[in-house]
This record gives sequence, structure tokens and C-alpha cells, in this order.
Amino acid sequence: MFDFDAISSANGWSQALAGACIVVSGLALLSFIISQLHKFISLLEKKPVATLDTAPEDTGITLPSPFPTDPEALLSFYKSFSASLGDSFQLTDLYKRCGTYQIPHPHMTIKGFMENGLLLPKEEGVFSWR
Amino acid sequence: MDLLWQFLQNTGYYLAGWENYLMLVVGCLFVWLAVGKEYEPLLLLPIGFGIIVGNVPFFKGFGLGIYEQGSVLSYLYFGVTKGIYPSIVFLGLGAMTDFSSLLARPKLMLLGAAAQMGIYFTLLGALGFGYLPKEAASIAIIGGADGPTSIFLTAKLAPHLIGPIAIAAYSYMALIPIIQPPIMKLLTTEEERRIRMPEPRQPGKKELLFFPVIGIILCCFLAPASIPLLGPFFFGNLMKESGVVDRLAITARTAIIDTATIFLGFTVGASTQGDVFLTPKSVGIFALGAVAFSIATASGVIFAKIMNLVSKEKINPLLGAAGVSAVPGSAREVHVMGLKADPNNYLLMHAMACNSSGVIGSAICAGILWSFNVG
Repeated sequence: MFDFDAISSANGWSQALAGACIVVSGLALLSFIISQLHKFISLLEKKPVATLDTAPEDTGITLPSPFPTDPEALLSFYKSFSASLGDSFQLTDLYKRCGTYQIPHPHMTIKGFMENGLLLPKEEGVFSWR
Repeated sequence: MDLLWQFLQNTGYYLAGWENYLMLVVGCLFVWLAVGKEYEPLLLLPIGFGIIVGNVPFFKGFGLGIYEQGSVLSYLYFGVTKGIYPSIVFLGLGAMTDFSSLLARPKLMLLGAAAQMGIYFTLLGALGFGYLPKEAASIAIIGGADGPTSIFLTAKLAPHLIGPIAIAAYSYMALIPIIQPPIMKLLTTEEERRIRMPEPRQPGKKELLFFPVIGIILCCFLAPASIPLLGPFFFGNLMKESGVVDRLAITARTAIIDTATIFLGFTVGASTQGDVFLTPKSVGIFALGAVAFSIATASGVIFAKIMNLVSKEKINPLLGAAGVSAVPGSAREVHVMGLKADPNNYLLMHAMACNSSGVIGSAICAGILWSFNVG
């Protein structure tokens, strides 16, 4: 039923091996090049290279462990690290602050806050906590 | 009276055979899956209705059937047999693909490469079961889980198998929610499924602009036979990212891809005339297609686990399953399975990175198989 000779006579083994090697090496090379792309662009723009995995600054804020999943607990944590933004703030500032503190999934969380009325739009582009 | 009898002899009721009835049931099943279950309706509805149309029996010689020279359907089918529709679909696909998450974490591209192993294992299987090399290569590409790529390669290598291969490829893409989860569950532990991926960085505009140019040069220099697929794909993406031809990019990802999808699905469906479609070869193609798809999923997951052994930063192995190029079905399935293990684990963006690299990977594989079997 299953004929190994048919594979050999059709050059199947070498086709499969060569094909697999070509696609893996091709995508690995592309992956390597795009991983260096931001450095190349920085070089073109003569800007200092931005490191991808910068160590978090000592901000005085520590992420609670386990990270809260309850909306109210999340809200109070968000309020605590965004207090210095003032009563009203722009979402971009809040996202930047989340990035600084390496808060997980800020986009989803902030969207959830807005959908649940915990983060309220005030005037154009400005929001405040409930 | 003779005229009436002659007319009756030309009706579908008189001419229909069991093959037609069976295929009509299959067509209705596809329509039901699309409408009732909303399984990949954009694909299954045109294919399903195409199957129904293609299996209405007719008097041969009237120039009605898809395989009859000069018929309307044969002209529409021209886009399939010459590989035109797949190229157009790839143009639209490129114009709607966001490579941000892939650029943010390039190593996920390796999962897209690993998931292509299903193609090569199936190539060996198909050869072992007695298919001719060109047929085996066409069947193997089902493992890429990419309908247009499967149709493109089959049109070039084994045009007589376009019907069963296209139907198998699209069926398995629609059945992702049934095929992939058990394999993912079997190959991963609960703890592995809970691995969280760090928030991806936001790549700069220039990175997004450079990527399609680098991608086309690198991939098509490696496998020039993939130009008809990857050329339009990266061009569509460049239109999107450049921001200077928004009108063209929007048209490519809406009207153009929709038109191609309609004609592709409908004519592929109509090409499944019972007498041509229902052969032992077709049954074998469906069986090998399922194997191809399963191996592709499994090899992606296993490769992610291997990467975890050697890498400091752990990857959620579920992402490997998104290395097949069924966009966005497999990414969605990975995301859902990740959420089941941890309701706060959002894998969608990372899975989309694997998915888009899977599209590139399967197109390269199509080019490789075409060049291996040309002539």
C-alpha cells in the first residue's frame, strides 16, 4: 500500500529535505534582517539606537503580584500610578505611563475601563477617572 | 409528443446521477455551514453555491458546463486555471495585513516556517501512496492551509485536481475550530498555555515601509517561482503602509479582493461536477489534506516548545499553531485557547504575527515545489 520506493524514485526525500531547509533558512534570514531593521533605520537617521528590551526605570511603583483582574482593584492601581497626570489627562499620556511601568495589556484594560464607565471622556481628547 | 419527450430527456431530473445528488447534498451542507454556523462564510457560501450550480446536470454540447469550451463558466474559471485569482487575492491580503506585531517580535516568524513542515511530510505521504510527483506536490500544499496558494500551485502542476484540492483546503480552513484545538491541547500543558507574551513594541513607520521591499527581495530571490503570489502581496502591503495611495490600498483590500473571492469560490465550487470530482483520488486527497493540516499545526507547536528549551524568553507554544497561514482563523483559535487557560492572556496580536509569516512561508513553499516539479 505505502511504497517507500515510490518516494525515492520521485526524489521525494531530497525534495522534502531541501524544501524544508530552504523555507526555514529563508524565513530565519528575513527574521534576522527585520530584527536589525530598527538599528539600520536609526543609523540612517543618525539617532541613538533604541534598545528593545530596556530595563524598567526605578519608578517607585511595583506591580502587584498577582496582577489584579478585578475591575475595581485594577482601577485603584491605575489611579495610583497615574495620579501625577492630574484629574484630567490625555489617553496618550496614560498609555505612555503604562509603558514606563510595563503594565501588561494596557490597551485592553483601558478599553475595558471606558466600556464600563470607569474612565470617562470629558472634553475633546481628555479623560478622567470615575 | 416527441418534442415533449426530447425536452424531458434534456432536463436535470432525467440526466442526474447519484454523483450529482451527492454533490448537491455537499453543496447544501457548505451553504448551511456558512449561513447557519457562520464557519468561514466568505469562502464556504460561494463554494457551496458553486457546488450546487456545478452539479445541476445538463445536456452536453450546449456550452453550459465549466469544462466546456466557450461557456460563461469556463471563462470565469480561466482565472482559476491560470492562477489569476490567487494573485489578486494576495494583493488584497497584503493591503489588509498589519506586520507590526511581526516586526515587533521577528522570531515569531520561525513558527511560520516550522508550520510548513506539514507540507513536506504530506509530500512524502502522497508520493508513498502512489500519487505522481506533480500531484503529490499539489496535495502537499494543503498543509500550508492557504486556499489561494493551494489553487495557484495546483493550477500550475496538476490542473485536473483543482476541484478536490481547493475544496479540501477550504474545508479544512473552515474546520479550524474543530481540527486545531485538540492538537494544541494534546501537545501543551496547562502551564504552557498560560505563558504570557510581553506587550509588543510599536514599530516605526519606516520599519513598516522597509519591510515589504526587503520581504519581496529576500523571498523572491530565494524562490522566484513565488513571485506571482508574493509580488502582489508585498505590493499591497506597501500601498497600505506608504499612506500615499490610500484609495488604491482601500480598493485592493475591499472591492478587488472581494470580487476575486466571489469568482474564485464560485467557480471552484462549480468545478466539482460529480462525475469529475467523485473519484478515489479525491478521497485520498481529503485524507492526506487532513493529515497535512494536522502535522502543520503540530509542527508549529512542537517547534515553539523547542524554542523554549533554548531561548531565555518563553513563547506560548500555542502560537505555533497559528504558523499555518489560515488568516485569521488559526490566530483566533490560539487566542481563544489562551483565554481558556488564563482569561487575561491576550495572544491575538502575537498569533497574527505567526499567521502572517505563515502566509509568506506557504507562498515560498509553493514556489519551491513548483520549481522542483517544473517541466
